[in-house]
Amino acid sequence: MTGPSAEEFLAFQRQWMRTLVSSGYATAHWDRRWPGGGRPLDEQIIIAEELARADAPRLTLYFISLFHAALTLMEWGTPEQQARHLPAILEGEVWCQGFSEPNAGSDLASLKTRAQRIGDHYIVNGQKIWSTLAQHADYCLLLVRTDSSGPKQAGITYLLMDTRSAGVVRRPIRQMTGDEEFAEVFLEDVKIPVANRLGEENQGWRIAQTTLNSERGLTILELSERLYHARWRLLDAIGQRDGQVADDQRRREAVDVFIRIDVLRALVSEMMAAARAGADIGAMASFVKLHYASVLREFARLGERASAGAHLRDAFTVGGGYETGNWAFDFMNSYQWSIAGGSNEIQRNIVAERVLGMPRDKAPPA
Amino acid sequence: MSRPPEELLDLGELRDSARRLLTDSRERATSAGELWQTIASLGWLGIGVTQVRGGLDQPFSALAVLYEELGRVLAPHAFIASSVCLHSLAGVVEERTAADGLLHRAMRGEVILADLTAAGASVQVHGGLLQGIVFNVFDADRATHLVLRVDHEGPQIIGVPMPHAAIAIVCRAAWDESRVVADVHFNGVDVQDTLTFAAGSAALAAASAMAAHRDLAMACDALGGAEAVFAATLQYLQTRQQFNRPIASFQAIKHRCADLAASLAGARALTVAAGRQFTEQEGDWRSAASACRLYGGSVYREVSEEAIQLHGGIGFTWEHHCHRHLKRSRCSDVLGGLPDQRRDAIAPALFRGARH
Ligand SMILES: Cc1cc2nc3c(=O)[nH]c(=O)nc-3n(C[C@H](O)[C@H](O)[C@H](O)COP(=O)(O)OP(=O)(O)OC[C@H]3O[C@@H](n4cnc5c(N)ncnc54)[C@H](O)[C@@H]3O)c2cc1C
Repeated sequence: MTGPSAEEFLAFQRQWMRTLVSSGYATAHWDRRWPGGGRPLDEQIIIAEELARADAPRLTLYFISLFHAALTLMEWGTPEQQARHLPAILEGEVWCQGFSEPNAGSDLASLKTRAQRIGDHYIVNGQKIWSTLAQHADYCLLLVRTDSSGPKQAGITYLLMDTRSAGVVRRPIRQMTGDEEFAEVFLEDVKIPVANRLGEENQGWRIAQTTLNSERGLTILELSERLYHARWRLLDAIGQRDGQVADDQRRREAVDVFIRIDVLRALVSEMMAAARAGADIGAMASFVKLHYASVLREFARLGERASAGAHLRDAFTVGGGYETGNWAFDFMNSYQWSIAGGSNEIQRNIVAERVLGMPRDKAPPA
Repeated sequence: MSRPPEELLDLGELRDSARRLLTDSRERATSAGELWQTIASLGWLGIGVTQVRGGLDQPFSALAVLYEELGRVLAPHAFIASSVCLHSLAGVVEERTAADGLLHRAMRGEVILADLTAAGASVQVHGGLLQGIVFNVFDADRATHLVLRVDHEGPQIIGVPMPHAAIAIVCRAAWDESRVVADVHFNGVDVQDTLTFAAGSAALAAASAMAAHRDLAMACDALGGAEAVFAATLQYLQTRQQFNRPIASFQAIKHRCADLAASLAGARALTVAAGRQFTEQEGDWRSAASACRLYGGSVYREVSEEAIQLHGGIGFTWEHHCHRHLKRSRCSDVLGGLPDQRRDAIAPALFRGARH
């Protein structure tokens, strides 16, 4: 975090987590067995919209816990696993996602971190990377290879790893913004009990889809609302006086960015309507992610171009979302949305092949 | 404003029957007059007009379907022009007046209206005579009446029967051949020859409803055209082979198509949202309609440009249909001013809504 120190960030996140958990707003998307859970989608949407309208801080430290870990555990966890972790998450257990590896990014299924079963344990060796806030995590959603003989997707197993196990070394990675929001995780002969396996051995790929899909929908809804409410920051940057912008080019560019924000919001509400109707939102989610990544970039780009001081690294307060009004920072940070969670290029592949029915090209010889 | 569902047309069925009718009549080369009569007999011309006024009382979403389907086949502008006038004026004309009678005849297809209001009040009244030129009017040549805005004892929306000795329609050679683009010269038309649809505040209200309706119609028209040329392009990419495989399998091509599909999905979502807002007269529906047209227009440009490149040499020919969409997308943009003028016009409203 460019603003507060790591300690201040953690202290604030803990306090904000307690507030949102006790009010029930942090867990609206959980099922009804849990405090705050069981709210209909419409109410979840209202909560997300209101958090955005208030420019409330995001629970970045607990994002993986509250969405990825919780939803995956609810769908695939044993009663024991659920009882062990879901109340703990409410108490502030921090999770990270250990999927990507140095040589398995977009081609996630080619991951090589090995797990060998010995008695009641798996012995894990390998390396994970780009794991968001892993340095602060208590547990890790871990994908490992348990079989290399068949298709790559068929040999993956899903484990829940205590990050304080012997043999786990976490090293924060400094990002281009100067912040350390993700980390490398080195795994050397790490012992993970078989009881911490999610689902069956070699069933991990399917379970991972639950995890990867869990952040769709509500998160992007909240983020697009945040962008909408942050439009004034762009107006200030392009020199508005009483709502008028004298510079023709900037005024018109801002109009186009504003329209694209409305396009994004219209797409998001279409997607939520489909979700409400129980329809498959896969194609919509790709369109929404492509639109969000590109309008966020355009928003920051215009602000950066219009600000004489954008090259200066002055201290600033981190806002609620991805539009802090510190334009160079926002611009750099916007790459997160075109790279992580299925890059723009991967989204385009999905749209072309699954939505438009364009044929796959022959894979190069292995 | 929402109606009981049993009174709503099924939009899927409406789309199917519109598409069937329009493709049939293209294949059978039906004359424009005959098609117009069919369209009128189906009730399309007054599809959104209230039942008491003789219409089918449907929300804008039904009109959107028709505008899109007409856009797909590069239909002339006559339907949009008549429909914009009819739907906006039917609510404001007084019943059993000459103007009311004219609108009823227009719904039956007996008169055809040309919409000159996009240009604002560009015709002046001097000594009881209309003087001035309205530029870039689409498909005025077949109209039986011109509808325009004048300031004469306050704002008015009036109709002028055609042909008229003091009106010259000067057709321009436009790149877009799907419409007749003309400048309409008013060389001293006696105001006595005109009839008034609305005056005063009713005229102002009707004028802004017309502007918003026209913007939405143009957005739908653009969306229909863009979807048609995109579908045709995808089909071509699947069949055309180079390097022993369909060119649709090249990633450089796939990614461009995916971007176009994303733009189209965005345009569709925005059009649906702005159409609903217009029907409900909710929030700033006027700016929303204009924003929708700006986006839809830019997507039509983008898709039609890419279509030509993706077709290769055949896309560069007169024979192939791609260039018709390219030209129509450009021509559509000039109706009622240029895109930057629309941006400038909605900027204050958009910016007001964005302030902290
Ligand atoms: C801010 C941030 C946070 C992250 N957090 C996490 C986390 O918490 N946990 C986790 O497991 N991972 C995380 N990631 C990792 C992220 O999921 C990967 O970065 C992403 O999947 C891309 O993989 P890669 O970095 O190896 O890039 P590569 O896959 O090597 O891609 C490099 C470039 O090649 C393109 N490319 C790759 N394959 C294709 C293809 N088939 N067609 C066309 N182009 C292609 C990509 O689009 C990209 O432009 C995070 C990443 C970022 C940036």
